[in-house]
Amino acid sequence: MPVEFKNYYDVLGVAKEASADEIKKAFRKLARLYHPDVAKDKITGEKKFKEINEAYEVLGDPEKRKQYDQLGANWKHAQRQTPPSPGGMGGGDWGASEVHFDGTGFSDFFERYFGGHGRLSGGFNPTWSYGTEGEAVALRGQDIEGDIMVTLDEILHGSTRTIQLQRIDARTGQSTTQTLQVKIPAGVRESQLIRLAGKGQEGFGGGKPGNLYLRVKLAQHPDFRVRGADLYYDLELAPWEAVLGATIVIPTMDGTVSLKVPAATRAGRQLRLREKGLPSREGTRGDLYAVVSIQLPAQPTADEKKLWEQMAKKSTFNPRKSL
Amino acid sequence: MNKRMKPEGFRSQTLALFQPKPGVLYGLDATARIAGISRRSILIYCRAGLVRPVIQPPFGVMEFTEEAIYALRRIDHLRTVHGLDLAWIKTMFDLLDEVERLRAEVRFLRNP
Repeated sequence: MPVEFKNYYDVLGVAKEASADEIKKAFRKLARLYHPDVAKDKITGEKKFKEINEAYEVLGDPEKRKQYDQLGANWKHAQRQTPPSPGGMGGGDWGASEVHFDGTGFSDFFERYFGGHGRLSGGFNPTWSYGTEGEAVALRGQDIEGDIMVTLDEILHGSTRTIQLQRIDARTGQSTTQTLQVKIPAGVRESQLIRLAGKGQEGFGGGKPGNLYLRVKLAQHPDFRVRGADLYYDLELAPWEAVLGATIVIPTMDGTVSLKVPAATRAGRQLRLREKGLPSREGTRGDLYAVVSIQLPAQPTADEKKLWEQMAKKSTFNPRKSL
Repeated sequence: MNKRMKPEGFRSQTLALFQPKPGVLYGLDATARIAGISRRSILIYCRAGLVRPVIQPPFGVMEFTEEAIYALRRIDHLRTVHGLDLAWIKTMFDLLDEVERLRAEVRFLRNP
């Protein structure tokens, strides 16, 4: 079945020649606008948020972007070839059906060309089982693999997702759609597998069907980065805030909190907010780290410049004293 | 799947709920059944260091995670269908793990 080409540049509203920084900025802006927590229309917001995420997943990674650009330039040609169908199955020779997902947050286009990187494509061939007399009696169906996009909010609270599985029989061309509900447990991790027993390809000769594996892929959050159960927030400070200390309101997964930045805070310092991260498998919660970076005014006014000059004259501070 | 694909050949629509329980461990027999691999093969893969049970003798009976079952399916496939030997698979798995770890780190450092 032909896959539609996705114009990720259009999704993010950037030019094809956009720099990595422009792409990042466009993503953050749109992700904030459509984030399921803030969007006015939750359903459209979530759909759009996942679309933006998918686009950024590809364009935000220089390697994948290059691959995508090449694919776009040769799209007509690429379409004529028959790459493995989503789920990584190539084994049409077993009479396996072609499978498409809906509701995972990723498009068929993504699944076909960018899904499942970093692991072996899941094309497990059927397993022969032998009867007691030694003759082959059953053939277990193939496993199917797909990605499922999960937001940080879903990790925090858990959710139930509705996924549609469309199978197109390779022999008859007939399609069947199955709707499945999958519970995403709170505390899932990136790359974690969710096994849907018996939802893979059908078995042969009375063999059991294979499994469907959904691999968790975290949606990028506009504010937080994730490492294990901990979240990282980039806290940008003005130089005087870093020197004199300040109280700053920052977002967390449970609403905003005011964070007291102590005086003489250096760039790179991590201020920890205990148990404001993601739930961990052990039932505890990770922490939120605010990572300090010091920003300078792009164009200081004449007054500001004068003040800096004054400080330059009066200060005895020399960061290169040891040289 | 989107609507335009549904009408032709549309047969049935059932609603099944799947509730995965993270952190569940499976004994050797259950693992063999779910993975569709013999107990003997599983023990061989364990001895080769390709998968590691969470608990193993003498601290208790062997128990495997969902990830381990997935890994067992992969190993068995590579060995029986592609004829790779266990040392090869081990090297490949180690490298893939390393790639995955580095990729996660790059993603963490690069993203917003």
